[in-house]
Amino acid sequence: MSADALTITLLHLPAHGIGSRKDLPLPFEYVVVGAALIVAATFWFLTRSWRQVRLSTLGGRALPRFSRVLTAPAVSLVARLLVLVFWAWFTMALIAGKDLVTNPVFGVVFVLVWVGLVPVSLLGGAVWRGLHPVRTIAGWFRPSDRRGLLDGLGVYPAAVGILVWGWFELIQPDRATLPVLRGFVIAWVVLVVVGTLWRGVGWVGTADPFEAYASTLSRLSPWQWQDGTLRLVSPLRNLGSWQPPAGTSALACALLGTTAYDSFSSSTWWIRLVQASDLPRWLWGLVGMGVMVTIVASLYVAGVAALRWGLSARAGLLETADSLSIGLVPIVAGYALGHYLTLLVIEGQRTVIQLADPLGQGWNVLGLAENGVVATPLTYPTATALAQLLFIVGGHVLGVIVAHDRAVALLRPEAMRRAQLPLLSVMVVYTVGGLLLLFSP
Amino acid sequence: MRRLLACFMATLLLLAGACSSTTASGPVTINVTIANGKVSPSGATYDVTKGAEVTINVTSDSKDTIHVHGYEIEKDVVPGQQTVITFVADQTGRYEIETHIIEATIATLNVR
Repeated sequence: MSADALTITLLHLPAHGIGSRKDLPLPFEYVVVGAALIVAATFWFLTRSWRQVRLSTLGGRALPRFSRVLTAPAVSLVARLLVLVFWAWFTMALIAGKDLVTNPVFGVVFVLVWVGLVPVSLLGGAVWRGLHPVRTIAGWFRPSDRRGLLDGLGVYPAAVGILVWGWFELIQPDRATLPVLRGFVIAWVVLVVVGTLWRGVGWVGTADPFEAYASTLSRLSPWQWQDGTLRLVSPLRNLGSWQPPAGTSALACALLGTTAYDSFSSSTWWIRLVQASDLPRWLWGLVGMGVMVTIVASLYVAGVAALRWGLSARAGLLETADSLSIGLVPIVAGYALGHYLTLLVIEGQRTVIQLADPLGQGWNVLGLAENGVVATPLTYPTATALAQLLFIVGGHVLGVIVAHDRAVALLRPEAMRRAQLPLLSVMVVYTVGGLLLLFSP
Repeated sequence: MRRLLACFMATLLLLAGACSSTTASGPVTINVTIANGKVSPSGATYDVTKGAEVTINVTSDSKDTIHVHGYEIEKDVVPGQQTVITFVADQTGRYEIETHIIEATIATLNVR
């Protein structure tokens, strides 16, 4: 097809779905090798690992000069204003743009925000939280939280938000049409803005699913603020020294479950099953996603419950689950990168190009429209498959290390190995399950 | 521990046996029928070698649009007439072929 014909087709395409290309199923040898590595590494680690807590302090190097630059009023104002301008641009396309797949709003929400926040938080630390538009605006009117009522909620509201988002991203009929997207953006604004007016800026961290996700992943970055100074730290220590807020395990299970459902629902046997049935598709989707999230969450709770006999101090089930959930964070990050990195690379470029013309008027802001999508990564399916394998296995290994360190802190020395075994097995099931889902034809 | 590992690998091998796929090196032809709001094939998988020609023949009892994802090919289908879509699969990846009106996935192309 010639370039002109392609452009014409794209212009007339109704908006219906984001991400027209998916990664090839993982070759089966990769799954076998990956699974063997995961099992061997995990159980070798369990028998050889340390017996003293090693990651409970942040350590690293303080960067006072860099911190002063970052916190300088001019720098932070410019950064915040740039983010606000971006969101104003997005709002313009959302309100006045055309209901076509070429409208950048779909790519912004489904790709730049949802997938982009993963590398942004892993590489840049707490940038998402620091530049959150609602925090910026709230900061101009209301300097700080007025009530301390939010602590008990933890990130539970955000975990529920991830499930609602999962419905929207993967099941909601006509999700990539402008009226439906508008409805969900309005719902997000109401949730975050009204909540902030009611409870102060602390509400953003509690209830905004994107911020809670980004903040959780930022603990795996090499950056952490301590006493007003930024430190360059080991990502393992950053995560290992974290006491996650209540509900972090629920958030992680919601993320793993919805991502697993995404893979599972594009397997051909599921498509065949759903299409052969006369029940509405959204019902199948709702049940499928519900089952996936339930499996992920109940496995985790079972793993934690099976560990509690070894605890050195009494602690509730959910409290223990949240404390150990730091081990799930690298698995979540590995899943997200393994599943969505090529989507981010390809559709992310497309979205940036589309942002040059938000209203479909033929604009070419910043000359972006002249660029084409560089699809080079697609020509190397083996490299893509290897990267996917590396992310998933690597996430698992990091998860096992931080979970073990936390278990050492929580368990009696003589119970340490045996009590950890069920939880480590659950992590193996998650990771091997993730590989099998990527392999499913 | 060794026994656990062995059991695990055995399960994986069993799974490998259960999932087999066919690889076609030449051109691929897919004959599609749309009748009574259902598609046939439904959710099929085709392995395509990069550079191979793909032909999709569609007959339908209703008006619809066939969309080949990724290659961004769209063609309207008229009831009672055969519609033919031909293209060269020159990009690797996993692409869905779907209908827009009854919103069904006909097949997935795995282009390697």
